[in-house]
Amino acid sequence: MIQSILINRLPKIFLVSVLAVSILPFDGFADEPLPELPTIEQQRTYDRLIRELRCLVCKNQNLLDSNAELAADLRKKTHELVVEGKNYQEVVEYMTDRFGTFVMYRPPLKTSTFALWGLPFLGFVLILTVIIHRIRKRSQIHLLELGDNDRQAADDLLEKRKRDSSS
Amino acid sequence: MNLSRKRYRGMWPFVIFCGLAVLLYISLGKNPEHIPSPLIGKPAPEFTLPDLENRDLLSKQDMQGNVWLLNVWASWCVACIQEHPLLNDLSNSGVVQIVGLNYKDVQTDAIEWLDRHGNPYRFIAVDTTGDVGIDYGVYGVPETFLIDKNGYIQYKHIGQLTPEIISQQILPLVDLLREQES
Repeated sequence: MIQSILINRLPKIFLVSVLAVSILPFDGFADEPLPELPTIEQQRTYDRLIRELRCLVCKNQNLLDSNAELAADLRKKTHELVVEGKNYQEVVEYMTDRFGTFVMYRPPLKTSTFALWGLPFLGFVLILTVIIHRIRKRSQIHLLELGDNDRQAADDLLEKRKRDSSS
Repeated sequence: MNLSRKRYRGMWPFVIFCGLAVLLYISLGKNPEHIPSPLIGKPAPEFTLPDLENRDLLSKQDMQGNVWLLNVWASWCVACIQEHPLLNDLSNSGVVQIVGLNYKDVQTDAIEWLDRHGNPYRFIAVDTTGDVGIDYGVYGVPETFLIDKNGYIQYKHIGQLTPEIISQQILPLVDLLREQES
């Protein structure tokens, strides 16, 4: 009896466990642990870099998330550079000199990326203008149409309703 | 005036749709794998690497004064097999010298692979760790760089070469760069 219930529910149990696993926080692959960095400052720089740098062959993963070989190599390189004493900006320059700004998850603001950064704001402003315009128009219509008679009629209706509900 | 404005106002969503459609259509023709290299027009990164037989140390200077191709390949790379006959032909034609960069490979595998598929390379530099690959911004083997007489990168192709790319992009550039003073 219990067995059959279990078997019937198997697909559900499976689905729920898959979902449960998928929402677990994922903290990267730790297959080749790199030696710890000498200072906390360096460790922080490194941690920030591997979150900000893109794994180029996987498109939508940063170096931390990816288990691609190239990502491992770039993690190693980043580690090396930080150990050498390079700061965040210097490592970013090293990477963009070789792979282009695509290696950054947040591309820098410059002429070629202006549209990328500007368009969402432009869209936002545009939509906001349209909405404000509409709201203004709507309130104008109300002002025009609600004359004294309308007001009286509305008051009467409200009055009537109050009476109905109290009786 | 007022009437015509009102009539056209309903067109806005359509105009926006058309704009987006054009934008997306243009992007459709682009290869998302093709990321422009910041290295073009810059000196090719220096390297000192052993050759495949471990007899010699090779560097960029060995090709100084020549227009040459640097082809990044590996025996584990499937697309390399596809483009290899083209490299063999190019090498046989003698139009341009090809240097191989054997990227993150096993020496014996690489030698065996060349025995099977032919060796179009003037020499092969071996980058076991992939460090030189990083300097060249390599992320998708095969990659091919065209380097001029002064050691500047003039062209880069990511992925498999095709007859069109060789005849329409690489060969005209090679002719042009040949005439350049070194």
